[in-house]
Amino acid sequence: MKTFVRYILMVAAVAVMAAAVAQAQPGRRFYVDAGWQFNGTPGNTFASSASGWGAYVEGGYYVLPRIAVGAFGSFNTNNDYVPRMTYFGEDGSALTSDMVNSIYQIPFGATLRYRLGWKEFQPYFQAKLGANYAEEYTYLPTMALKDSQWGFYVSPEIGFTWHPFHKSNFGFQLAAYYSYATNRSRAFGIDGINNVGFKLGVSF
Amino acid sequence: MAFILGCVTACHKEPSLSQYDGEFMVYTAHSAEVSDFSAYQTFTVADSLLYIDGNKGKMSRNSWDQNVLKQYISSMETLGYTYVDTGKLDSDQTQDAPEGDADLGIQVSYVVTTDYFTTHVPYDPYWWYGYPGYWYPGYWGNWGGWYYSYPVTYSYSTQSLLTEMVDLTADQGDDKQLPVVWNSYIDGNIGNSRNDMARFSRGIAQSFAQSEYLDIK
Repeated sequence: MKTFVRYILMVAAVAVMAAAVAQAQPGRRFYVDAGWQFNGTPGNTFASSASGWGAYVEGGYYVLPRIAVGAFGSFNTNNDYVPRMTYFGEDGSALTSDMVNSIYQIPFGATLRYRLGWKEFQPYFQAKLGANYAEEYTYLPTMALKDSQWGFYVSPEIGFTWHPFHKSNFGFQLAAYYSYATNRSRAFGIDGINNVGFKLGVSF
Repeated sequence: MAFILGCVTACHKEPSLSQYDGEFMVYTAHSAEVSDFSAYQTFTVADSLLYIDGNKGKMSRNSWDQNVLKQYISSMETLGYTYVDTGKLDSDQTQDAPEGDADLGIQVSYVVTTDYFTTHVPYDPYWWYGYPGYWYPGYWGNWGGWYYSYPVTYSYSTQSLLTEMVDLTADQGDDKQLPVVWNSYIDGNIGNSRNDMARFSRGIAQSFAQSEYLDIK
């Protein structure tokens, strides 16, 4: 019982200290970032390409002056044109066509951000953890084959927000990231999806 | 969550038709029960194309159709088969079945629109079951139905060409089925015109090129 009471008191003390420190930080404790995302899928045998068909939004709350927890969501499409060739099936069927392979991803989840400063220029490290919903398509000229699945998602990110305006939280954001999702598609021979990219947006 | 749900339906970037090379997609398949086509020596080709338009079919025998059929004849002859002209006019469905000695029969359909097939639940393998005016086994002889020994898995769109090769050496009878031993499906982007004979011609040539087992020379 004594141990339990001691534990409660310690948690309470930490909570009070954290709140006090948080009160001391400059600016708002909430932030919202959103913008354009450029994503590449290196090493992907199904659709390896880089494209800017993506966007992101994220928000968080600084529980400590440097540490924020929050949530994120983004999407990206990566299309890869495959020139005309003939594919033979084991049953003797054959298909000749050009096609576009496409991966469409929607990762979302939680963020943990650590910023190195809290003035105009705020460089930060961020970890994202969550789920990745992915759809894969093979677009033939007049029809499409599709698969979809869920996977776990993890992503380290480095970037900065820049708030150049006096007495305003409005600013800009630039960041680079890597991510890995565990999505698998037997139909399209996908076993995990690697992504690298950068994002450019505004910060509030 | 609204962001996620919204993106699922709205944010996916689909490829543009301009990304494709403009040539037709060509799909071919053959019977799993026929591995050696050298058992067949002769063939005939229905002298008209079946036009599938909306919810009706009709026979057509214009110059474009004739050019298509001539290419099938020349392609089969190149592969080593001998053409047999049965003299039957397909537009006259009251006429008796052809009496030639052809081992194989080829029927070609041109899909103008897809309204029928896109709303029709396929009965594998009788995906055309009930289509008004479609080829009927009795055209080729005394057979009571079609028989596919392989799945027909493709769909249909406008300006596509569907070709079926049937085995006329199969046992006949009202309770017998006419085997379809080979088929091809040639399809292109919406907006392609059937008057683009050169492109169709390349598609037909490709359908035979990717079916090397048809070569009996």
